[in-house]
Amino acid sequence: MPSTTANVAEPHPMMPKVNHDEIAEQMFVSDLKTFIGREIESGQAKLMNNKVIPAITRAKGAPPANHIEVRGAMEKEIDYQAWATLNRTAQEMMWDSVASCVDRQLDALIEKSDVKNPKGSLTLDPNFVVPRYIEAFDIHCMPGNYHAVTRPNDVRQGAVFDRAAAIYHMGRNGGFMNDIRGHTVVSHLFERWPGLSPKRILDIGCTVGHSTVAVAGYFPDAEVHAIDVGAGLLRYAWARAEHVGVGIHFSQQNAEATNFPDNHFDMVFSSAMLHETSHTALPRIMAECRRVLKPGGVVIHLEVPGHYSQLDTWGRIRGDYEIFYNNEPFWRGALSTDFKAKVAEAGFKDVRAGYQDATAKAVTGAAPAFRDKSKGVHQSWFIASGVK
Amino acid sequence: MVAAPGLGAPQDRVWVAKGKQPQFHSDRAIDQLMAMVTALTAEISILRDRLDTHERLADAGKAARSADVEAFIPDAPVMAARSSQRQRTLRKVFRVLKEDLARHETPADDAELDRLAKEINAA
Ligand SMILES: C[S@@+](CC[C@H](N)C(=O)[O-])C[C@H]1O[C@@H](n2cnc3c(N)ncnc32)[C@H](O)[C@@H]1O
Repeated sequence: MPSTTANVAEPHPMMPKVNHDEIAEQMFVSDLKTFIGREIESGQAKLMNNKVIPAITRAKGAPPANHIEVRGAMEKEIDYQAWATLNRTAQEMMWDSVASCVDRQLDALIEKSDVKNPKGSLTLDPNFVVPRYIEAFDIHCMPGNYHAVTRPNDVRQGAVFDRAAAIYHMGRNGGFMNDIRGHTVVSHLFERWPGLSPKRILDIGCTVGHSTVAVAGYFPDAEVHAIDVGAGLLRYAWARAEHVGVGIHFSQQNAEATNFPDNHFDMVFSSAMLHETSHTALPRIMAECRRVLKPGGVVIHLEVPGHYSQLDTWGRIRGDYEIFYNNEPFWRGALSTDFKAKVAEAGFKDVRAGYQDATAKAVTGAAPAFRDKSKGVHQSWFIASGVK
Repeated sequence: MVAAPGLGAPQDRVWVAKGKQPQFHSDRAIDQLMAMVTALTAEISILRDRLDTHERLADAGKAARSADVEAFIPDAPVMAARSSQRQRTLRKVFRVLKEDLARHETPADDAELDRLAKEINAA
């Protein structure tokens, strides 16, 4: 991903710039994360299989009952402790490396977010109540999470998120634009409903609009709306979209209960959003999607591939690390959820679930790419979709 | 929880992620030390990239004032070379972790399993 170093290669004016040492620092953290994954984390399963599980088995006279028992013993092993410490440190360093770079140029970014003659709009709600599952933990250990606001017209959290995503997805999600998920949603739409040309589209949980901009690009005449919880996130998202020439209507709303009229949209989608909500919120969000869709309109929920039942013991211990130490409290809940059933329970018809090939460009009439099996992380995305 | 949004100078800003503070080693000081060693490694790596820029400017017979360093845009081969250098640095700094882990490539011996099994039963 060579382009990441050069200021000149930046894709839009809202992307925070990096000076010589900042890019050196960010590339170090990126390489550190790769190193930890390849050379330190890769040894953990061996530690578990060659030492920890046999020792538990010897102690109890029977194999461990579940991954929690194994995790307890792993946590006492210095080689696990070192991996976990390093992993957490790298995550903290990632946010720090981006935040320091954003903070020194925040005034300039705020100025650039003052878009003249916008095509879309930004509607913030000063009385917005942040859902508890966002408020309680800073997800992914990003200080300030999706919703902190540090000054008037703030764009800070959006800028931090966008810069971090550009560097740390390491090019696997569509480079600087980070838009492969958006293209994948449209690819799914074209495959399942080739005749549908949505006139009104809603993206719930848009963050900085990575996927929204990609989706909007296929339907230039459509009215595209996007909602999220953070004012700074949304202002950044709106300015970013305007600077790349796409008009989107952003508003600060809770996907569990929006102010859109009944029967309003032709297509509602979410992208990597549901796993950051909660058991209580999930059915409410599904029902809200149905309420705002027109009869015949379609819902498409894209999620991380993989199901909890398919994970081996190390996969589950690794998942617990995400839950407890990377502040992803709903990770296990979401991976255990039968999304197909949830969509059907909300009253949708013709519900299907599977894995859509990740793509950087959706084309109509393409070969089928919605499958029963995942091709793996970043190769496939899980999708559950249906019709009202 | 310390949450002080970035209004002041960076040195005044302490902003940690809301959530449980982890402790992985038996003593939090070891976690802290590892974080500091890793941060120092980052600083060395940044310095090394800077030095590399200086050398490349000099090789091209160019001046290396701070503005020249800032204006230097590494091309793909330069980036790849820097990435290899970072991998080398990481392997050197964290060598001991890799070597300790390598001991688990093969099944633990009887004595070690016995010792650990006793610990597990005692807990
Ligand atoms: C991982 S991000 C989604 C990324 C984005 N959709 C994409 O594809 O690039 C999850 C987002 O969902 C938002 N979110 C979570 N719960 C929400 C809710 N109840 N209402 C609106 N947004 C929500 C979070 O604030 C966060 O920005």
